[in-house]
Amino acid sequence: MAFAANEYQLEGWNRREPRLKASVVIPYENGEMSRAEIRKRAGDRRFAHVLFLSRTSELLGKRRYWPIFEAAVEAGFPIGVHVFGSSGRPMSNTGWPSFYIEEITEHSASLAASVTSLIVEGVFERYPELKIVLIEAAWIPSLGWRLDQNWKRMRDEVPHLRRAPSEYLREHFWVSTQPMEEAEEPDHVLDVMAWIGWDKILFASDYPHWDFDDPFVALPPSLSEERRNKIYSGNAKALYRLD
Amino acid sequence: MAKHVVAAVADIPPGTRRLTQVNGRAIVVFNLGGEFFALNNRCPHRGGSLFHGKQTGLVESDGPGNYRYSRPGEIIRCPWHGWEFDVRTGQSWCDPARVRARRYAVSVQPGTQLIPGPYVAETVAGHGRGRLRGGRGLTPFRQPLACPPSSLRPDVKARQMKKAERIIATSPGDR
Repeated sequence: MAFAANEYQLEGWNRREPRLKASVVIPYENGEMSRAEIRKRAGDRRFAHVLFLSRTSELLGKRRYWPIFEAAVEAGFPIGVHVFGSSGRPMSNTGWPSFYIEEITEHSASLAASVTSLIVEGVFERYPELKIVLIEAAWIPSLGWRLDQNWKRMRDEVPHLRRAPSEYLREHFWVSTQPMEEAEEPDHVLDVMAWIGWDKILFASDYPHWDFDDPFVALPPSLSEERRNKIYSGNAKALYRLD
Repeated sequence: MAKHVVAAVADIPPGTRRLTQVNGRAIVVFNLGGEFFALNNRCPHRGGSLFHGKQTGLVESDGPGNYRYSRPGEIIRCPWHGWEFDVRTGQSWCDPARVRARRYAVSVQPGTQLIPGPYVAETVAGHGRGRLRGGRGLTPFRQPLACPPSSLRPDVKARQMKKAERIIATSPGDR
């Protein structure tokens, strides 16, 4: 299925519009099969990154997924993690939500657990070249603060971390903009973007979903031209080595 | 800064620590296998009492899944939030560039240097041993009853030497 999905992306989209890059779809619950599919696509510039959905069977830092990280680093692919998926488990730790509004809001909090897992399991110590793109989940500053606070208290539990957790967060993670946060105080969104890093933010439209972001009005109007251009294209060109 | 007599060597056996007061400041004196170190008792994070923390070792790793435990007893963890400090330097392990528990120099000196004789005739046998950080060994001594070395005596304070600040654990000195 994954192989077929990848072939379809090339045939159905990239062949007609080469500027559209594909994701390497993998059966991510099976590390060895995923590694084989990534190796097939290594060096193929029509693919941009390897794709996970956020609702994996186990937290993303667990070793069953390490062959995938290893293969992605070997092939020079970042890992994209898009929210949603089908783990069969509720995203909350206390059962299933009643409404879609809960589901769609919980994605980012739920993925925070997997981001934490990636950091504290030492994935970035083992694979220092690994780059992760978080797609539709951009809450990370407060996660960094909480992780650093607890790391100072429990460092000896994870001695393989050589730096504060927030440093891994800032170095190894990129985020996409959609759904662009809308704070009552516009500066608050800018503060969050500054913490994440102006070179780590990638514009995403989520087209053709119903809740997509319009590229002409989504970004905060006060952004400088330089930052706007980085978010629209420069950061993605650098990350995915486009041109 | 002044020197202060804080304890007798025998009061802080190897592997133990003692909470002392110097001019209203609480200072923990550690004995690591015969070497003495002193830290301000106040944790620089939120002010917890380091003396009441757990004295442990250093856990390090070469990579995920590998653990190495070393320097047993040379790390003090604050009882409040578990921050680790190097007993030898006061440095925080997580934030060594910015955070450290204040450290004081410690020396061991023979009682005879602190209170010169002549002493009263009545004596008892002392039993402590100690050495300076440099390794100079000291021998058991005969301690004058008139000079209980574990207390901060007014007459000793009167002889405070105006040099670098030091916490002195008095050792048994020979006559």
